[in-house]
Amino acid sequence: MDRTGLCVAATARAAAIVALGGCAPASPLCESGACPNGYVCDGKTGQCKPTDALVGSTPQFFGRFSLVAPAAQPPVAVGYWPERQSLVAYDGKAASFVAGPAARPTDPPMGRDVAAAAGSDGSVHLAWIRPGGDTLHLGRSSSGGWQVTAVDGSVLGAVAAPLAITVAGDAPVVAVRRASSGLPVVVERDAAGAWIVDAVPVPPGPRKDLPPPAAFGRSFSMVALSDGVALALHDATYGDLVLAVRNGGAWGTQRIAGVDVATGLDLGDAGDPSALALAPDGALVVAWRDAGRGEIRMARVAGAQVQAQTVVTSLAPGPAGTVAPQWAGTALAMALRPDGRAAVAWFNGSTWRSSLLLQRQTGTFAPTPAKTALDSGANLQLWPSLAVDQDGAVHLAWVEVGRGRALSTARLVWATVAAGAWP
Amino acid sequence: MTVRPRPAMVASCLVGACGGFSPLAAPLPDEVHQVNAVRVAVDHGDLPQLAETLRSLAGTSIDLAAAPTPIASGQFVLGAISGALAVAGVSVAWVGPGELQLDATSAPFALALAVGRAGEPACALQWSVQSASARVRLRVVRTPAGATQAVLAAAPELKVQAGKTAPSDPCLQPLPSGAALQIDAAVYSAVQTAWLPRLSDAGLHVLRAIAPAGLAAGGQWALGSGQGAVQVQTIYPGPTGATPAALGKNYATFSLSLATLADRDPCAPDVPGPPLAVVETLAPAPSPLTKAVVRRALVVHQSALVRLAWSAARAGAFCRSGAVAAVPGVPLQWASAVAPELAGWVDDAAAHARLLPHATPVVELVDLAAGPAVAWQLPDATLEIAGRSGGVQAVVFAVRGRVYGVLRPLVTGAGQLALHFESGGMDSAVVSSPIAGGTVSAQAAALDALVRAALQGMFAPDPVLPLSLLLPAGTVATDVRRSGDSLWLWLDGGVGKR
Repeated sequence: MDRTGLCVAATARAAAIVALGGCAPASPLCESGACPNGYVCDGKTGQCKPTDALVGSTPQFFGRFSLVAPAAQPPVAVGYWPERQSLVAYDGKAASFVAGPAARPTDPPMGRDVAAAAGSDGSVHLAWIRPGGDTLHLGRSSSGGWQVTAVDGSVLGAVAAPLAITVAGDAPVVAVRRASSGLPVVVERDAAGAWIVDAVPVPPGPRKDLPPPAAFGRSFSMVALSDGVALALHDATYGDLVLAVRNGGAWGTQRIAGVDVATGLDLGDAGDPSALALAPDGALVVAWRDAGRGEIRMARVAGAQVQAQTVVTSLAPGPAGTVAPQWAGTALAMALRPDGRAAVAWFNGSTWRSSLLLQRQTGTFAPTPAKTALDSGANLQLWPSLAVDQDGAVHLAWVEVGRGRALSTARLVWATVAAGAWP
Repeated sequence: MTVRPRPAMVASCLVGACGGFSPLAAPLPDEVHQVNAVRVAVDHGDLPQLAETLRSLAGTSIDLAAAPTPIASGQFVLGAISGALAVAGVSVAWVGPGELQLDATSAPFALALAVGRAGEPACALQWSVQSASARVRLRVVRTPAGATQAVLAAAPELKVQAGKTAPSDPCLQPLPSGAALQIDAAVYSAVQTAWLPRLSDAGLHVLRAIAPAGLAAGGQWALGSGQGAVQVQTIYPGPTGATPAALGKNYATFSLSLATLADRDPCAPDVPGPPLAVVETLAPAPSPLTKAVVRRALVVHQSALVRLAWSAARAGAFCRSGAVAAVPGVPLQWASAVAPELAGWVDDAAAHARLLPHATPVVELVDLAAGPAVAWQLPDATLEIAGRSGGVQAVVFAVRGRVYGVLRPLVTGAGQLALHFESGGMDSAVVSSPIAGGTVSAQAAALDALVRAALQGMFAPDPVLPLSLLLPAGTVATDVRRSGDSLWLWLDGGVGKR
C-alpha cells in the first residue's frame, strides 16, 4: 500500500491506471515515492531505475498532450509521438494511431497540436490541424476505431493553433484561430450537419484609450454550457486573460486577469496558459499562469462576479537575500470533481518538474500525497495533464526523463489519486 | 494576490522600467536629500540674446494712454495722453546669486498733450521725454508652502527724464507754478502703467523657463507588476524667500537637491544606499554651438546617477524580462548552438530572458565615440534564458556571472531624451541547464551572442524620459555632453513664446 495515497504503475504491462491499494512497494523509497511507469525500484540502491526493455510499449509523447476520462472507460492520453510522426491515443493498455504516417502511410506528420474532450457516451473527441492546407480535422473514438472528419476548408479556411475542444450534447465544438487573421473562431455543425463558423468577438482594449487586441496566445480552453460555450483565451497584445461566453447565441467578453479592471492599470502578463472548467452549480472556474508574479491563480466566475484566489506561489530564494518567482505553470491542467473542488497539475519551468495540488473543502489548496510522488527523484517531469472521472478520482499523466539523458528515454507516466485520497 | 492601491496612476517610465506613477504621499526626509545633485546652468554668453528676446516679448513700442487728469488744484485739465514709447534697448544681467536684473531704456519720444482750463478749449502741448528707463529684478524663491515661484525681487524702478519744454511755451504760461511737475508725474504714471507690467511679465516668463518650477517635483514610480517602487523628489533648496541660485564664471546656476528612496522588490538585493556625496564644484562644459535663445543645461552629477541607479535597482528596475532580440549571430537552434547536448530539446522558437540581480549596480559616466554614456555593471547576477520545449516555456540556461551594459542618453528627433541600450554582455559566466541537471560547457561565441541578444531584448525599447512633464512647453533637449563627473543635458526653447 502506498502511504502517500498516490500509486503509479511499476511496469509497463501494469501501466493501466492503478487504484489505491494496488501497489506493492519494493523498497522504502519506492514505497514513499513510487517508481513511475517504465521504471522499476532497484532494491539495492533504493532508487527507481529505467527498465529499458520496456521502451516502445507505450507511446513516447513529446510535447503537450491531452488526458481525458470518458465515462465508464479508462482514461485516454492523446498526443504526438515524434518517432512515428503521428497522433496517437493510448488508454494505458494499447496505442492506436489516429492520424499521421502510422495511421495512414499517405498522411503527412500530424498531431503536434491536438485537443481532446470526452463525450457523455464514453467517446473521445479530438481536434488537430493537418499540415499542407492547415485544415482542421476532427476525430471520434468508436468501437471500430477512429472516425476522422475534415472540416470543409471552403467554410473555415486555413487554421492555426491553439486548439480547444468541448462536447455539447453529442457534438464537438472546436475553438481555433483563423490563419489569415489570427483571430479565434468557434467551429461546429448546425442542426442540418453543415459546418458553421462563429467568430469570437475581440474584446475592447483594457482602457478606453487603448485599441482592441490583435494577437492571442498559445492556449485556448473551452467548456460547453447548457446553451452555449465558454472560452478562456490569452490576449497577447495586453497580456490579459479574457473569458468569452456565448449564451443563447450572444457573445460577451470580460477581462479576468492581467489588468485592474477598474483603472485599466496593467498588472503584468497573465493567462498563458489557462484551463477552464464548468462547476456543478453552473459557475465557470478558470485557472491560469500569472507570469509576473510567478503564481498560478484560479477564479470562479459567475456572471460578472469574479472571485479569484492564488493556487500556488512559486517564489524561490536566491543569492543575497533575493526572492524571485519561478516559471510556474507554463504548462497547466485543471479539472473539477463532481463536488466542484479543483485539481491543478502544473509544470515548473524553472525546475522542469511537475506538481499536483488538490483543493480542500475550505477552498484552499493542499500539497497532496500526489505531490510527494511527483517530487521524488530528480527526473524531468514534462507536460502534465489530468482528468477527473465521475467518481472524483484524479488521473494524472506526464512525460518523465532523467536529467542529462537522451530524449529517446522519455516515458509516459500515469498515476491516479483515488477519490478518497483528496484532502 | 493583493494589489496595492496606487491612486492617480499613469503609465510612465523611469530608468528604463515602465510602471505606474503616483504623487508622493509626503515629502521625502531631509536626510536623504543630496544638495547640488542637479543644477540648471545658464550660459552667460547668451545674455544679449536673452535681452533681445525679452525686448521682443515685452514689446518694442509701448502704447501709452491715460484719461484726462485735473491739475493745478483742478483749475486745469491735462487731456487724455496718447502716444507710444519706443524701446531702444534691453539688457539683462545676473546681479547677486540668481537674481536676474532687467534694464530697459527708451528712445527719446514726444507726446501730444492738451492742457487748458476746464470747460475751455485746450492748448496743444508737445511734451518731450528724453528717456525712460526701467529696472526689474527677479528671482526664484520657495514659498512657505514649499512651492517654487519666480517673483519680483523688488518693486520695479522707473525713471522718466522729461525733455526741455520752454517755460515760455504758450500752453504752460497760464499754468501756476508746479503744474509742469504734475504733467511730468502724469506722463510718468502713464509710462509706469503701460511698460513696467509688460517688462515684469516678460522677465518672470523667462525666469520660469530658465529655472522651471516643474523641476521641483516629486513622484513615485511603481515598476511593472512587482512590489518595488521608487520615490524621487527634487527641490530648489534654501530657506524660504532666499534665492537658490549662484553665479559662476561661465554660468548662472540654479541648484536642486535630489532625494530618492525605494520600496524594495524582493527580487533585488537588500543593499544600503551609496553615501550622499556633496557636490561642491561644477566643471565647466563647452556650450553647444546652436542658435538657441538661451543655452541652458540640466547638469546631473554622477553621484546622483549612482543614487538613482541604486534606488531603481532596489525597486526592481534590473529585475527584467523580455524576448531575446532577433539579432545576427543568434541561430534558430540557439540552445544546441550553446550546448550541443541539448539538440532536440528546445523548439525552434524565440527565446525569452529574465535577469535576476544579486548585487546592486555599479554606475559611472564614460565617453563613447558617439557621446557620453552611463556604464553599469551588476557584479553578480543570473540571466535565465527560457525556450519552449514541446510548446511549453521553461528555463534552458541559467547563466551566472557579472553582467554589464552601457546606456547612452540620446536626444530624439522630437527633442526628448531617450536612454539607448548601447551594448552589454556577461563575463565570468557559469552556465547551467536544468535539462542537463547541472553546469554545461557552453560554446563561448554562441553564448556571447545569445547573452547580448537577451540583454538587448530586455532593455528595448529605449525608454524616453518625460521631460515635457517637468519643463515649460516648447522646451527641447538639444545635446548631451559630459564634463568632469557630470552629465550636461542642453536645453533650448520654451523662452521665446508665451
